[in-house]
Amino acid sequence: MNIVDLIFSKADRGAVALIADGIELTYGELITRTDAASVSIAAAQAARIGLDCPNGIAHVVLALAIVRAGKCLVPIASELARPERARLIKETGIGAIVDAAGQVREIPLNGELGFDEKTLEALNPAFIRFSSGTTGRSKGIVLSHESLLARVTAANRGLGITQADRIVWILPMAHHFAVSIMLYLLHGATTIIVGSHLAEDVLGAGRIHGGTILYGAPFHHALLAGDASGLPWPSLRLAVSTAAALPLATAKAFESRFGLSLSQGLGVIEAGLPMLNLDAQKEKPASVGRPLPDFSVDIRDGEIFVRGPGMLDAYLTPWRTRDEILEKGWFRTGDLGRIDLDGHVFLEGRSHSVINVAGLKCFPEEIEAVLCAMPEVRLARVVGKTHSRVGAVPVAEIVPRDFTHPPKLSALVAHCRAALARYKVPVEFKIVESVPLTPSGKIRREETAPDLA
Amino acid sequence: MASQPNSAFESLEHQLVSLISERLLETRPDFNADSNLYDNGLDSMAIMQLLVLVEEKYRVAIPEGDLTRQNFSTTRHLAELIRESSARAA
Repeated sequence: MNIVDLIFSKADRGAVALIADGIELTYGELITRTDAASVSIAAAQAARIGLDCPNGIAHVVLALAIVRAGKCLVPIASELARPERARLIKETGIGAIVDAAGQVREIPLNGELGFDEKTLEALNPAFIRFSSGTTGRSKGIVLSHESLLARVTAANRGLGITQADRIVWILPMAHHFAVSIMLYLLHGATTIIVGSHLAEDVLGAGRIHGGTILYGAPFHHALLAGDASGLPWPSLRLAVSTAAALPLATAKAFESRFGLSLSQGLGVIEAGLPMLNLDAQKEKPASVGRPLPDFSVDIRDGEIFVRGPGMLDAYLTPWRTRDEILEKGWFRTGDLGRIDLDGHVFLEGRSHSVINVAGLKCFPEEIEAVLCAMPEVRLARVVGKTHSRVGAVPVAEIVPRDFTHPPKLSALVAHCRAALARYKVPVEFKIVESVPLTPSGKIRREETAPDLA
Repeated sequence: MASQPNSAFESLEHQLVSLISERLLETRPDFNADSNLYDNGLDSMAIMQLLVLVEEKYRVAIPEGDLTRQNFSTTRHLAELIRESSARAA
Protein backbone atom coordinates (compact mmCIF):
# COMPACT_ATOMS: atom_id res chain seq x y z
CA MET A 1 0.00 0.00 0.00
CA ASN A 2 1.20 3.51 -0.81
CA ILE A 3 -0.54 6.23 1.14
CA VAL A 4 -0.05 8.89 -1.53
CA ASP A 5 -1.64 6.64 -4.14
CA LEU A 6 -4.55 6.24 -1.77
CA ILE A 7 -4.85 10.02 -1.27
CA PHE A 8 -4.81 10.61 -5.01
CA SER A 9 -7.24 7.79 -5.84
CA LYS A 10 -9.81 9.29 -3.46
CA ALA A 11 -9.24 12.89 -4.53
CA ASP A 12 -11.84 15.12 -6.17
CA ARG A 13 -9.60 16.64 -8.85
CA GLY A 14 -11.53 19.86 -9.05
CA ALA A 15 -11.41 20.59 -5.31
CA VAL A 16 -8.82 22.96 -3.90
CA ALA A 17 -6.04 21.15 -2.04
CA LEU A 18 -3.70 23.99 -1.14
CA ILE A 19 -3.75 27.77 -0.92
CA ALA A 20 -0.56 29.79 -0.47
CA ASP A 21 0.52 33.29 -1.45
CA GLY A 22 -2.66 33.88 -3.40
CA ILE A 23 -2.29 30.67 -5.41
CA GLU A 24 -4.95 27.97 -5.32
CA LEU A 25 -3.86 24.47 -6.29
CA THR A 26 -6.54 21.89 -7.04
CA TYR A 27 -6.11 18.21 -6.24
CA GLY A 28 -5.81 17.61 -9.98
CA GLU A 29 -2.94 20.10 -10.23
CA LEU A 30 -1.35 18.66 -7.10
CA ILE A 31 -1.39 15.20 -8.67
CA THR A 32 0.13 16.51 -11.91
CA ARG A 33 2.90 18.38 -10.07
CA THR A 34 3.63 15.46 -7.76
CA ASP A 35 3.88 13.07 -10.70
CA ALA A 36 6.26 15.39 -12.51
CA ALA A 37 8.46 15.80 -9.44
CA SER A 38 8.55 12.10 -8.66
CA VAL A 39 10.18 11.16 -11.99
CA SER A 40 13.68 12.33 -11.05
CA ILE A 41 13.18 11.25 -7.44
CA ALA A 42 12.25 7.72 -8.48
CA ALA A 43 15.40 7.57 -10.60
CA ALA A 44 17.64 8.09 -7.58
CA GLN A 45 19.27 5.02 -6.08
CA ALA A 46 18.56 6.15 -2.54
CA ALA A 47 15.95 4.43 -0.39
CA ARG A 48 15.72 7.37 2.01
CA ILE A 49 15.50 10.90 0.69
CA GLY A 50 15.90 14.11 2.65
CA LEU A 51 13.64 17.06 1.94
CA ASP A 52 15.22 20.47 2.45
CA CYS A 53 12.44 22.87 1.63
CA PRO A 54 10.65 25.65 3.54
CA ASN A 55 6.90 25.65 4.17
CA GLY A 56 4.87 26.10 1.05
CA ILE A 57 3.22 24.35 -1.86
CA ALA A 58 6.62 23.02 -3.01
CA HIS A 59 7.16 21.29 0.32
CA VAL A 60 3.86 19.42 0.02
CA VAL A 61 4.43 18.50 -3.63
CA LEU A 62 7.97 17.23 -3.02
CA ALA A 63 7.12 15.35 0.17
CA LEU A 64 4.30 13.57 -1.63
CA ALA A 65 6.54 12.92 -4.64
CA ILE A 66 9.16 11.25 -2.45
CA VAL A 67 6.62 9.00 -0.78
CA ARG A 68 4.79 8.25 -4.02
CA ALA A 69 8.07 7.21 -5.63
CA GLY A 70 8.33 4.52 -2.97
CA LYS A 71 11.09 6.31 -1.12
CA CYS A 72 11.19 7.07 2.57
CA LEU A 73 10.78 10.78 3.34
CA VAL A 74 13.17 12.37 5.85
CA PRO A 75 12.36 16.05 6.47
CA ILE A 76 15.38 18.27 7.12
CA ALA A 77 14.30 21.21 9.27
CA SER A 78 15.67 24.52 8.03
CA GLU A 79 16.72 25.73 11.49
CA LEU A 80 19.26 22.96 11.99
CA ALA A 81 22.85 24.06 12.44
CA ARG A 82 25.45 22.47 10.19
CA PRO A 83 26.62 19.75 12.64
CA GLU A 84 23.03 18.82 13.49
CA ARG A 85 22.18 18.51 9.82
CA ALA A 86 25.27 16.38 9.18
CA ARG A 87 24.30 14.06 12.04
CA LEU A 88 20.77 13.68 10.70
CA ILE A 89 22.06 12.81 7.22
CA LYS A 90 24.56 10.29 8.55
CA GLU A 91 22.34 8.57 11.09
CA THR A 92 19.33 8.17 8.81
CA GLY A 93 21.51 7.14 5.89
CA ILE A 94 19.95 9.61 3.49
CA GLY A 95 21.14 8.84 -0.04
CA ALA A 96 19.80 11.97 -1.72
CA ILE A 97 18.48 15.40 -0.83
CA VAL A 98 15.71 17.19 -2.68
CA ASP A 99 15.83 20.98 -2.47
CA ALA A 100 13.06 23.55 -2.77
CA ALA A 101 13.45 23.63 -6.58
CA GLY A 102 12.94 19.87 -6.75
CA GLN A 103 16.57 19.23 -7.67
CA VAL A 104 17.76 15.81 -6.51
CA ARG A 105 21.32 15.65 -5.25
CA GLU A 106 22.63 12.19 -4.49
CA ILE A 107 25.07 11.98 -1.63
CA PRO A 108 27.42 9.13 -0.87
CA LEU A 109 26.62 7.08 2.21
CA ASN A 110 29.21 7.77 4.78
CA GLY A 111 30.07 5.22 7.43
CA GLU A 112 28.17 2.34 8.94
CA LEU A 113 24.44 2.58 9.48
CA GLY A 114 23.10 1.83 12.93
CA PHE A 115 20.31 -0.31 11.46
CA ASP A 116 19.80 -3.06 8.92
CA GLU A 117 18.49 -1.68 5.64
CA LYS A 118 16.62 -4.85 4.67
CA THR A 119 14.84 -4.98 8.01
CA LEU A 120 13.84 -1.34 7.63
CA GLU A 121 12.64 -1.82 4.05
CA ALA A 122 10.53 -4.80 5.14
CA LEU A 123 8.46 -2.39 7.25
CA ASN A 124 7.34 -0.45 4.11
CA PRO A 125 8.61 2.83 5.61
CA ALA A 126 7.10 6.08 4.29
CA PHE A 127 8.51 8.56 6.74
CA ILE A 128 11.33 9.02 9.23
CA ARG A 129 11.19 11.91 11.63
CA PHE A 130 14.58 12.45 13.17
CA SER A 131 14.64 14.18 16.53
CA SER A 132 17.62 15.76 18.15
CA GLY A 133 18.97 14.30 21.30
CA THR A 134 21.95 12.92 23.07
CA THR A 135 23.93 9.77 22.59
CA GLY A 136 21.85 6.77 23.54
CA ARG A 137 18.54 8.53 23.25
CA SER A 138 16.20 7.01 20.70
CA LYS A 139 16.27 8.94 17.46
CA GLY A 140 14.50 8.57 14.16
CA ILE A 141 10.84 7.60 14.36
CA VAL A 142 9.93 5.24 11.53
CA LEU A 143 6.37 5.26 10.20
CA SER A 144 5.17 2.83 7.56
CA HIS A 145 2.48 3.61 4.99
CA GLU A 146 0.12 1.39 6.99
CA SER A 147 0.84 3.10 10.30
CA LEU A 148 0.40 6.53 8.75
CA LEU A 149 -3.00 5.56 7.40
CA ALA A 150 -4.02 4.02 10.72
CA ARG A 151 -3.02 7.06 12.74
CA VAL A 152 -4.56 9.71 10.49
CA THR A 153 -7.77 7.67 10.38
CA ALA A 154 -7.82 7.41 14.17
CA ALA A 155 -6.99 11.10 14.65
CA ASN A 156 -9.80 12.14 12.35
CA ARG A 157 -12.36 10.39 14.51
CA GLY A 158 -11.70 13.35 16.79
CA LEU A 159 -10.94 16.14 14.34
CA GLY A 160 -13.81 15.21 12.03
CA ILE A 161 -12.21 16.84 9.00
CA THR A 162 -14.18 16.68 5.74
CA GLN A 163 -13.99 18.18 2.26
CA ALA A 164 -15.75 21.24 3.66
CA ASP A 165 -12.88 22.06 5.98
CA ARG A 166 -10.19 24.66 5.36
CA ILE A 167 -7.24 24.36 7.69
CA VAL A 168 -5.10 27.41 8.44
CA TRP A 169 -1.55 26.06 8.58
CA ILE A 170 1.28 27.94 10.29
CA LEU A 171 3.51 25.26 11.84
CA PRO A 172 6.78 24.08 10.28
CA MET A 173 6.04 21.21 7.88
CA ALA A 174 9.42 19.66 8.59
CA HIS A 175 8.13 19.06 12.13
CA HIS A 176 4.48 18.38 11.37
CA PHE A 177 3.36 16.57 8.27
CA ALA A 178 1.89 13.14 8.93
CA VAL A 179 -1.08 13.69 11.24
CA SER A 180 -1.69 17.03 9.64
CA ILE A 181 -1.12 17.74 5.94
CA MET A 182 -1.41 14.03 5.03
CA LEU A 183 -4.60 13.80 7.08
CA TYR A 184 -6.12 16.88 5.45
CA LEU A 185 -5.29 15.63 1.96
CA LEU A 186 -6.64 12.15 2.65
CA HIS A 187 -9.96 13.67 3.69
CA GLY A 188 -10.19 16.05 0.76
CA ALA A 189 -9.86 19.24 2.80
CA THR A 190 -8.13 22.49 1.80
CA THR A 191 -4.92 23.55 3.54
CA ILE A 192 -4.23 27.28 3.70
CA ILE A 193 -0.49 27.79 4.16
CA VAL A 194 0.34 31.04 5.97
CA GLY A 195 3.96 32.12 6.01
CA SER A 196 3.78 34.17 9.18
CA HIS A 197 2.66 33.75 12.78
CA LEU A 198 1.65 37.37 13.18
CA ALA A 199 -2.01 37.81 14.11
CA GLU A 200 -2.77 40.14 11.21
CA ASP A 201 -1.53 37.55 8.70
CA VAL A 202 -3.12 34.47 10.29
CA LEU A 203 -6.46 36.17 10.91
CA GLY A 204 -6.36 37.76 7.46
CA ALA A 205 -5.87 34.41 5.75
CA GLY A 206 -8.50 32.75 7.94
CA ARG A 207 -11.05 35.42 7.09
CA ILE A 208 -10.32 35.69 3.37
CA HIS A 209 -10.30 31.95 2.74
CA GLY A 210 -12.94 30.91 5.26
CA GLY A 211 -10.63 28.92 7.51
CA THR A 212 -12.50 26.42 9.66
CA ILE A 213 -9.64 24.86 11.62
CA LEU A 214 -6.55 26.30 13.21
CA TYR A 215 -3.67 24.27 14.56
CA GLY A 216 -0.99 25.97 16.63
CA ALA A 217 1.02 26.22 19.81
CA PRO A 218 -0.08 28.44 22.73
CA PHE A 219 2.37 31.09 21.54
CA HIS A 220 0.47 31.46 18.26
CA HIS A 221 -2.90 31.53 19.97
CA ALA A 222 -1.70 34.24 22.35
CA LEU A 223 -0.66 36.39 19.38
CA LEU A 224 -4.08 35.93 17.78
CA ALA A 225 -5.91 36.61 21.02
CA GLY A 226 -4.02 39.90 21.30
CA ASP A 227 -5.09 41.07 17.86
CA ALA A 228 -6.51 44.54 18.26
CA SER A 229 -8.40 44.80 14.97
CA GLY A 230 -11.64 43.46 16.45
CA LEU A 231 -12.32 41.59 13.20
CA PRO A 232 -14.25 38.36 13.79
CA TRP A 233 -13.39 34.90 12.44
CA PRO A 234 -16.86 33.40 12.15
CA SER A 235 -15.92 30.38 10.02
CA LEU A 236 -13.56 28.98 12.66
CA ARG A 237 -15.03 25.80 14.17
CA LEU A 238 -12.03 24.14 15.84
CA ALA A 239 -8.83 25.66 17.18
CA VAL A 240 -6.36 23.05 18.37
CA SER A 241 -3.62 23.94 20.80
CA THR A 242 -0.74 21.55 20.97
CA ALA A 243 2.99 21.19 21.56
CA ALA A 244 3.12 22.92 24.96
CA ALA A 245 0.92 23.44 28.01
CA LEU A 246 -1.79 26.01 27.35
CA PRO A 247 -1.67 28.88 29.86
CA LEU A 248 -5.07 29.67 31.34
CA ALA A 249 -4.70 33.34 30.44
CA THR A 250 -4.20 32.45 26.76
CA ALA A 251 -7.21 30.11 26.81
CA LYS A 252 -9.40 32.85 28.31
CA ALA A 253 -8.10 35.59 26.03
CA PHE A 254 -8.64 33.49 22.89
CA GLU A 255 -12.15 32.55 23.98
CA SER A 256 -13.20 36.12 24.64
CA ARG A 257 -11.60 37.39 21.43
CA PHE A 258 -13.09 34.78 19.06
CA GLY A 259 -16.01 33.27 20.97
CA LEU A 260 -14.50 29.81 20.58
CA SER A 261 -12.60 27.83 23.19
CA LEU A 262 -9.23 26.33 22.32
CA SER A 263 -9.10 22.53 22.28
CA GLN A 264 -5.93 21.18 23.76
CA GLY A 265 -4.61 18.03 22.18
CA LEU A 266 -1.80 15.69 23.03
CA GLY A 267 0.24 14.95 19.93
CA VAL A 268 2.93 12.34 20.37
CA ILE A 269 5.23 11.73 17.44
CA GLU A 270 5.40 8.02 18.32
CA ALA A 271 1.64 7.63 18.73
CA GLY A 272 -0.18 10.26 16.67
CA LEU A 273 -3.03 12.20 18.26
CA PRO A 274 -4.41 10.03 21.08
CA MET A 275 -6.16 12.82 23.00
CA LEU A 276 -8.09 15.96 22.15
CA ASN A 277 -10.32 18.08 24.34
CA LEU A 278 -13.60 18.10 22.44
CA ASP A 279 -16.14 18.08 25.24
CA ALA A 280 -14.75 20.22 28.04
CA GLN A 281 -12.77 22.99 26.34
CA LYS A 282 -14.61 25.73 28.16
CA GLU A 283 -14.89 24.13 31.59
CA LYS A 284 -11.45 22.52 31.60
CA PRO A 285 -9.14 24.38 29.20
CA ALA A 286 -6.11 22.87 30.94
CA SER A 287 -7.14 19.35 29.96
CA VAL A 288 -5.98 17.53 26.84
CA GLY A 289 -9.37 15.82 26.93
CA ARG A 290 -10.37 12.20 26.82
CA PRO A 291 -8.71 9.61 24.63
CA LEU A 292 -10.11 9.56 21.08
CA PRO A 293 -12.39 6.55 20.33
CA ASP A 294 -9.65 4.18 19.13
CA PHE A 295 -7.25 4.97 21.99
CA SER A 296 -6.90 4.00 25.62
CA VAL A 297 -4.96 5.89 28.23
CA ASP A 298 -3.50 4.75 31.50
CA ILE A 299 -1.59 6.59 34.20
CA ARG A 300 1.13 4.56 35.85
CA ASP A 301 3.16 6.11 38.64
CA GLY A 302 2.06 9.49 37.37
CA GLU A 303 3.19 8.84 33.79
CA ILE A 304 0.84 8.74 30.80
CA PHE A 305 0.71 5.53 28.74
CA VAL A 306 -1.33 5.27 25.54
CA ARG A 307 -2.52 2.39 23.38
CA GLY A 308 -4.10 2.54 19.96
CA PRO A 309 -3.64 2.28 16.18
CA GLY A 310 -0.82 3.75 14.13
CA MET A 311 1.99 3.49 16.66
CA LEU A 312 5.49 3.98 15.32
CA ASP A 313 7.03 0.98 13.57
CA ALA A 314 10.53 1.40 14.96
CA TYR A 315 13.17 3.70 16.36
CA LEU A 316 16.01 3.98 13.89
CA THR A 317 18.99 4.53 16.19
CA PRO A 318 19.45 2.55 18.25
CA TRP A 319 17.22 0.16 16.30
CA ARG A 320 14.16 -0.95 18.24
CA THR A 321 11.03 -2.42 16.75
CA ARG A 322 7.50 -1.59 17.82
CA ASP A 323 7.26 -4.83 19.82
CA GLU A 324 10.41 -3.92 21.70
CA ILE A 325 9.26 -0.36 22.36
CA LEU A 326 5.70 -1.01 23.48
CA GLU A 327 4.99 -2.51 26.87
CA LYS A 328 2.26 -5.10 26.14
CA GLY A 329 0.87 -2.73 23.52
CA TRP A 330 1.22 0.42 25.65
CA PHE A 331 3.46 3.32 24.73
CA ARG A 332 5.11 5.20 27.55
CA THR A 333 4.81 8.87 26.53
CA GLY A 334 7.27 10.43 28.98
CA ASP A 335 4.55 12.94 29.88
CA LEU A 336 3.43 13.12 33.47
CA GLY A 337 -0.26 13.54 34.06
CA ARG A 338 -3.41 12.81 35.98
CA ILE A 339 -6.94 11.83 35.04
CA ASP A 340 -10.09 13.16 36.71
CA LEU A 341 -13.32 11.34 37.50
CA ASP A 342 -14.81 12.26 34.10
CA GLY A 343 -11.83 10.75 32.32
CA HIS A 344 -10.26 14.05 31.32
CA VAL A 345 -6.48 13.98 31.27
CA PHE A 346 -4.26 16.80 32.51
CA LEU A 347 -0.56 17.11 31.74
CA GLU A 348 1.81 17.78 34.61
CA GLY A 349 5.21 18.11 32.99
CA ARG A 350 7.71 15.68 31.54
CA SER A 351 9.40 12.73 33.18
CA HIS A 352 12.70 13.77 31.71
CA SER A 353 14.57 16.92 31.04
CA VAL A 354 13.28 18.02 27.65
CA ILE A 355 12.90 21.79 27.23
CA ASN A 356 9.90 22.81 25.16
CA VAL A 357 10.35 26.19 23.49
CA ALA A 358 6.94 27.06 22.05
CA GLY A 359 6.60 23.48 20.84
CA LEU A 360 10.17 23.02 19.63
CA LYS A 361 11.95 20.55 21.82
CA CYS A 362 15.55 20.31 22.91
CA PHE A 363 17.47 18.40 25.51
CA PRO A 364 19.71 20.14 28.05
CA GLU A 365 22.30 17.41 27.59
CA GLU A 366 22.89 18.29 23.94
CA ILE A 367 23.33 21.98 24.74
CA GLU A 368 25.67 21.16 27.63
CA ALA A 369 27.75 18.92 25.38
CA VAL A 370 28.14 21.76 22.89
CA LEU A 371 29.17 24.20 25.63
CA CYS A 372 31.63 21.74 27.16
CA ALA A 373 33.34 21.41 23.79
CA MET A 374 34.68 24.95 24.31
CA PRO A 375 38.17 24.84 25.80
CA GLU A 376 37.32 27.67 28.23
CA VAL A 377 34.39 25.73 29.70
CA ARG A 378 34.95 23.13 32.42
CA LEU A 379 31.33 22.31 33.20
CA ALA A 380 27.97 23.50 31.97
CA ARG A 381 24.44 23.03 33.22
CA VAL A 382 21.42 23.88 31.13
CA VAL A 383 17.89 23.99 32.44
CA GLY A 384 14.57 25.13 31.10
CA LYS A 385 13.47 28.39 32.67
CA THR A 386 9.73 28.92 32.72
CA HIS A 387 8.74 31.65 30.30
CA SER A 388 5.30 33.19 30.15
CA ARG A 389 5.28 33.60 26.38
CA VAL A 390 6.94 30.49 24.98
CA GLY A 391 6.62 28.03 27.88
CA ALA A 392 10.32 27.57 28.56
CA VAL A 393 13.69 28.81 27.38
CA PRO A 394 17.12 27.24 27.86
CA VAL A 395 19.41 29.04 30.27
CA ALA A 396 23.00 28.02 30.97
CA GLU A 397 25.34 28.05 33.91
CA ILE A 398 29.01 27.86 33.03
CA VAL A 399 31.89 26.82 35.24
CA PRO A 400 34.97 28.24 33.49
CA ARG A 401 38.29 26.47 33.41
CA ASP A 402 40.04 29.68 34.41
CA PHE A 403 38.04 32.07 36.56
CA THR A 404 40.36 34.94 35.73
CA HIS A 405 39.52 34.48 32.04
CA PRO A 406 35.94 33.28 31.78
CA PRO A 407 34.52 32.90 28.26
CA LYS A 408 32.89 36.02 26.87
CA LEU A 409 29.15 36.09 26.22
CA SER A 410 29.74 36.77 22.54
CA ALA A 411 32.04 33.73 22.29
CA LEU A 412 29.54 31.46 24.03
CA VAL A 413 26.75 32.65 21.76
CA ALA A 414 28.84 32.33 18.61
CA HIS A 415 29.91 28.82 19.58
CA CYS A 416 26.33 27.71 20.29
CA ARG A 417 24.98 29.30 17.15
CA ALA A 418 27.45 27.38 15.02
CA ALA A 419 26.45 24.05 16.53
CA LEU A 420 22.81 24.33 17.48
CA ALA A 421 19.50 25.33 15.99
CA ARG A 422 18.68 28.87 17.02
CA TYR A 423 15.93 28.05 19.51
CA LYS A 424 18.37 25.86 21.46
CA VAL A 425 20.87 28.67 22.03
CA PRO A 426 20.54 29.65 25.71
CA VAL A 427 18.84 32.96 26.35
CA GLU A 428 21.04 33.62 29.38
CA PHE A 429 24.56 32.54 30.31
CA LYS A 430 25.74 32.83 33.89
CA ILE A 431 29.28 32.23 35.09
CA VAL A 432 29.15 30.19 38.31
CA GLU A 433 31.65 28.54 40.64
CA SER A 434 30.01 25.15 40.56
CA VAL A 435 26.90 23.36 39.34
CA PRO A 436 24.90 20.89 41.44
CA LEU A 437 25.91 17.28 40.85
CA THR A 438 24.39 13.95 41.86
CA PRO A 439 26.41 11.61 44.10
CA SER A 440 27.54 9.79 40.94
CA GLY A 441 28.83 13.03 39.44
CA LYS A 442 26.09 13.72 36.90
CA ILE A 443 24.53 17.12 36.44
CA ARG A 444 21.54 17.57 38.70
CA ARG A 445 18.63 19.04 36.87
CA GLU A 446 15.57 18.46 39.04
CA GLU A 447 16.15 21.68 40.93
CA THR A 448 14.18 24.61 39.68
CA ALA A 449 15.79 26.82 37.12
CA PRO A 450 18.18 29.40 38.52
CA ASP A 451 16.73 32.84 38.88
CA LEU A 452 18.84 34.90 36.58
CA ALA A 453 17.10 38.16 37.30
CA MET B 1 12.64 56.57 29.94
CA ALA B 2 10.87 59.39 28.14
CA SER B 3 12.89 62.00 29.97
CA GLN B 4 16.28 60.53 29.01
CA PRO B 5 18.47 62.44 26.60
CA ASN B 6 18.67 61.58 22.96
CA SER B 7 21.99 59.78 23.27
CA ALA B 8 20.33 57.07 25.35
CA PHE B 9 17.82 56.57 22.56
CA GLU B 10 20.68 56.18 20.12
CA SER B 11 22.23 53.59 22.34
CA LEU B 12 19.13 51.43 22.50
CA GLU B 13 19.15 51.16 18.72
CA HIS B 14 22.84 50.32 18.81
CA GLN B 15 22.37 47.72 21.50
CA LEU B 16 19.60 46.13 19.48
CA VAL B 17 21.63 46.14 16.28
CA SER B 18 24.39 44.26 18.15
CA LEU B 19 21.94 41.91 19.83
CA ILE B 20 20.27 41.02 16.55
CA SER B 21 23.48 40.44 14.62
CA GLU B 22 25.30 38.62 17.40
CA ARG B 23 22.50 36.50 18.76
CA LEU B 24 19.83 36.12 16.14
CA LEU B 25 20.33 36.70 12.45
CA GLU B 26 23.06 36.32 9.85
CA THR B 27 22.85 40.02 9.11
CA ARG B 28 24.37 41.69 6.08
CA PRO B 29 27.57 43.72 6.52
CA ASP B 30 25.78 47.06 6.17
CA PHE B 31 23.10 46.13 8.73
CA ASN B 32 21.89 49.13 10.74
CA ALA B 33 18.91 50.42 12.69
CA ASP B 34 16.96 51.18 9.50
CA SER B 35 17.67 47.92 7.68
CA ASN B 36 14.63 45.83 6.91
CA LEU B 37 14.69 42.94 9.38
CA TYR B 38 12.68 40.62 7.13
CA ASP B 39 15.26 41.10 4.37
CA ASN B 40 17.87 40.07 6.93
CA GLY B 41 16.16 36.79 7.64
CA LEU B 42 13.65 37.61 10.36
CA ASP B 43 11.19 34.74 10.04
CA SER B 44 8.42 33.56 12.35
CA MET B 45 10.75 31.63 14.60
CA ALA B 46 13.19 34.52 14.79
CA ILE B 47 10.44 36.95 15.77
CA MET B 48 9.59 34.69 18.69
CA GLN B 49 13.22 34.55 19.76
CA LEU B 50 13.79 38.25 19.33
CA LEU B 51 10.82 38.84 21.57
CA VAL B 52 12.20 36.50 24.23
CA LEU B 53 15.63 38.15 24.07
CA VAL B 54 14.45 41.76 24.30
CA GLU B 55 11.84 41.04 26.96
CA GLU B 56 14.49 39.33 29.10
CA LYS B 57 17.12 41.94 28.52
CA TYR B 58 15.02 45.06 29.02
CA ARG B 59 12.50 43.59 31.49
CA VAL B 60 9.54 44.66 29.44
CA ALA B 61 6.38 42.87 28.42
CA ILE B 62 5.32 43.83 24.94
CA PRO B 63 1.54 43.50 24.56
CA GLU B 64 0.43 40.91 22.00
CA GLY B 65 -1.54 43.56 20.14
CA ASP B 66 1.70 45.38 19.35
CA LEU B 67 3.33 42.39 17.72
CA THR B 68 2.67 43.58 14.21
CA ARG B 69 4.61 43.24 11.00
CA GLN B 70 5.28 46.99 11.02
CA ASN B 71 6.71 47.02 14.57
CA PHE B 72 9.26 44.33 13.66
CA SER B 73 10.19 45.78 10.29
CA THR B 74 13.32 47.62 11.48
CA THR B 75 15.46 47.84 14.59
CA ARG B 76 14.37 51.45 15.00
CA HIS B 77 10.69 50.47 15.07
CA LEU B 78 11.49 47.75 17.57
CA ALA B 79 13.36 50.21 19.80
CA GLU B 80 10.35 52.48 19.75
CA LEU B 81 8.13 49.59 20.76
CA ILE B 82 10.41 48.72 23.67
CA ARG B 83 10.45 52.34 24.83
CA GLU B 84 6.66 52.52 24.73
CA SER B 85 6.29 49.27 26.65
CA SER B 86 8.82 50.41 29.20
CA ALA B 87 7.12 53.78 29.64
CA ARG B 88 3.75 52.08 30.08
CA ALA B 89 5.16 49.83 32.79
CA ALA B 90 6.78 52.74 34.65
